[in-house]
Parts: sequence; C-alpha cells; structure tokens
Amino acid sequence: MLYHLIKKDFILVKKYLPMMIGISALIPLYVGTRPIGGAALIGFTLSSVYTLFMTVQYIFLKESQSPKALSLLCAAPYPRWLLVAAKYCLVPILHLACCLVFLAESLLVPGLAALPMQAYASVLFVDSLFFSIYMPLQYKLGFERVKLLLLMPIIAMSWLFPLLVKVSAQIRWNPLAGIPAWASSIALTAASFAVLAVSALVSVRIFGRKDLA
Amino acid sequence: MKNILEVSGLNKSYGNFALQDVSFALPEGCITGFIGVNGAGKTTTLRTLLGLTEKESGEIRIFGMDMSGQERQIKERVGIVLDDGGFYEELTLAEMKNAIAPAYSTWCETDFREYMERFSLNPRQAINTLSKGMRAKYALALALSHKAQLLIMDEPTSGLDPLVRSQILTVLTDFMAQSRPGEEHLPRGVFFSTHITSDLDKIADMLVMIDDGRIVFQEEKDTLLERWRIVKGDRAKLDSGNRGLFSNLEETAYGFTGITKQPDRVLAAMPDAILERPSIEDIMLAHINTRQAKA
Repeated sequence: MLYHLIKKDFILVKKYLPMMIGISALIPLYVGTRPIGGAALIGFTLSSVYTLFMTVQYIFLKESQSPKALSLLCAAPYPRWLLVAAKYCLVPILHLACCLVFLAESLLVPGLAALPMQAYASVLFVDSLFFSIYMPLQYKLGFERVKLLLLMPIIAMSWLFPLLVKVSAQIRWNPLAGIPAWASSIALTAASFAVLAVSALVSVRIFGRKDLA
Repeated sequence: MKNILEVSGLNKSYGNFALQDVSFALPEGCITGFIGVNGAGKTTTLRTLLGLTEKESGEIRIFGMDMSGQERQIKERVGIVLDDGGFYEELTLAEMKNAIAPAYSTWCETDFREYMERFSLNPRQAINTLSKGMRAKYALALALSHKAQLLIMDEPTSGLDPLVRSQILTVLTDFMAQSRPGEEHLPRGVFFSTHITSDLDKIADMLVMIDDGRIVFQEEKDTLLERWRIVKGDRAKLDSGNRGLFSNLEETAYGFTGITKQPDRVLAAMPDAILERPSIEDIMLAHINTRQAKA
C-alpha cells in the first residue's frame, strides 16, 4: 500500500517531474563549477533541497486543489499514518535521485568536483532537518500558509548558504573529525532517519486529528 | 431484521453548527435515504461515519463492529461515493483507480472492468474531462468493485440529469438484489444522503430525516407515506379547533392546502376535504416548517 501511495504522489506531479530533474541537474552545473570554496557541495545541497521541496510543494498544491480526493483515500482502508509515511519516503527517494544525477555530472563535467561519501550523507541530514520542520507545519497550517512561510528560507538560502559555508570553514570544531568516512556517513544517515521518524510521529498526530473536507 | 449500521448519541460541533445526539439505525437489506435540506447535517454525519472527522461523543457500529476499534475491517466492506466524486482532477480514471484499489484486500479488477464497460467509461480519460454524470458513474464503479456490503453515498445524484439519475438508481437496486454464489448470507445495505427526495420516492425502503443537526424521524417509507396526507379544502372550513391538525398550512383566496398526520380527524372535522398521498418532500418540508414556526 505504501508503494502505491508514493507512486500516486509522483503521478500527481508527473507534469512537473521533467522540470524537477532539470533543476536537480542544472543547479550543480551552475553553482558547482564556480570558483568558490566548496562549490560542488553548495551546488549539490541546493539541488537536493530545491528538488525535494519543490516536488513536495507541488504534491501538496495538487492535494489542496482536490481536497476531497484525500478524503476518499482516508475513507478507504488506508490508515492515515500511511498517507503521511508516503510523504516522508520522498526524502530518501529524491535524495537518492539527486545523488545519482550529481554523480553522473561529476563524472562527465570536468569542472565539477566529485564529493566524498560523507557529503552525500550530510546533505541527506540537511534535507531531513528542513523536511522535519516543514511537514508538521504543512499538516498543521495547510498548503497556502506554508507556501508563504517557505518563500523566506528559499530566498534566503541562495545567499545564506555560501555565508554559512564560509563561516563553518573558519570553525575548527568538527564532531565527525577522526571518525572514518563510512562510519560518519552511517551515523549521519541514521540521524537523518531518526529526525524524520520523530517528525513523522508529530505529523501523524496532527493529521490523525484533522477534519477532512 | 439485524442492523447493518447503528449510530447512537453522536455529537459533533463546528462553530455555529452541531450534530446533537444523533441516533439512528440501518436495517440490513434496505436502501435507506438520509434526507434534509442543505446544511441540515447530512454530510457532517456521513463524514463522521467514515472517520473523516472526529466525533466528540457517541458510538458508531457497522456490521456490529465498533468504528473506533475496527476501522480497517469495516472500511474493507464499505463502498463510498462522495459528493462530486472526490478525485484528483488531473489523473486518468486508471491512475485514480490504481491509487484507491490497493487499499482494499477484496478489490476485484473484473468487477471494475465490467462497471467501466457498463458505464462506457474510458480508463485513459482524464478525470477533469468527465461530465458530472460520468464522474458519478465512475465513483460508483470504484465503490462497487471491492465486494462492498454497505454503500455510503453523499448526494450521489445531485446535479445529474434524469437519465443518469435513473441509471444510478438502477445500479443501486441491482446491488441490493445481487446475490453472488456463496455471498447470499452477507447482509447488504445502502445509505444514501440526498435533498432530491424524488429519487427516494422510487427506491428507498427506509428514511432518516435530519434537520438542524438533529434526527427528526426514522421510519419505513411506505408507513410514513401512508400516515401523512395532503389536505385540500375550503378555507371557510378552517377554524381554531382544526388548524392544529395541520403541520403546514397554506391559504389562498380560494382554499387551503395543508399536510397532516391525523387524516381521520381531519375528515371528521371537514368531510368535504380532498385527501392526497404526499411526496417525501412534502413531509420533509412540513417538519421543517413546524420547527421553524416553533423557533
């Protein structure tokens, strides 16, 4: 049942999928080849975050345009928690897709540096953190209000992220220093799933009590 | 006769509207019409039954099971038709079916294909290109393709032309008459909310009326129609003693038309009066007017 709900979400945004793939491919090419420190990582992070949030926003847009469809699904024997879980599954799926696109690009485009394993896990953690805040807000406030809230970090991110990278380069504290790359990657991936799980519990609680149209 | 659905003491409030102590039961083997004007509480009651909105208090039992504890088992056996379908507009009929069907362990693809053919629906057609009638038929095809025993429908015939309404009513009577091999013992029922009471005149066995969030009556249709009478007569025959026999009274310069559930007493008071069998709508309006007159 989970597979079919995830598939349904992708079918809802099938018209926008080529655009999403385009964005996930173009951002690393544009940002990652610029002569700034950590350009590839910045490019990949922006690509992953934008792809995830634009896809999920489009899904919620489509759901807000047909609110009774969600009622029909909930009136069927789908448990409500499963509908929420399907949305959370988009994080690893879309992250993996972005990883594959970036890997292919880093192999094919000479100016685009390859990233270490830890970087992919770190970006998954960033995705998960943002998503874990976003989803309960989405279920609590609804599409229209969250759309406005989301504009601020999206606009801020384009200049805030390079600044953060610059600042973090000056900070010597690195909690992952000394840990083998594979171990820190696993730790970051596990932390990502833990954050998503906690957020999913909150979202299920909110959505479980929601009156549907 | 056993009850297929039982609701008792259901309460739910929204701002300026509340379902108040709603209780009724659907006997198995019956098509039950749920009537009331717009805003009376029909949709809220159905949404609460389907678990789409949380009840504040009360009990809902379907097939003898408690909705709070056995929601999944109950929903497997219930077919749903929501007002206007409840579909993702940009999906095709096949895509929407693929989203709904996996929820049901008893989904029958053969039944679905048969209904699609019967209703001349193309699975590749986008939902937003369907007419209102086609949407209603598609909703019915989805609701009937998983061996449902109880159909819960919210205004399924609203806004449809008479031909499509008639086709849908035929499907409902077929559903009730249908007995598949090995399924003869399974109870069936239809719970059908509508404000188009002429549809219920044709097919309903039972009627439940809701007004202003309260159940006004639950009764067999034939008994109800037998008990009430429309009375037409000379206005001069009306006096303070017999006016109280009518639930609703309209007077013109030529005469009066009233509705009563005491036809014998009316005839005794005015032997020249003409008595006619009322429609469900006449009885529904009589109740509403009585309530409004008291308010």
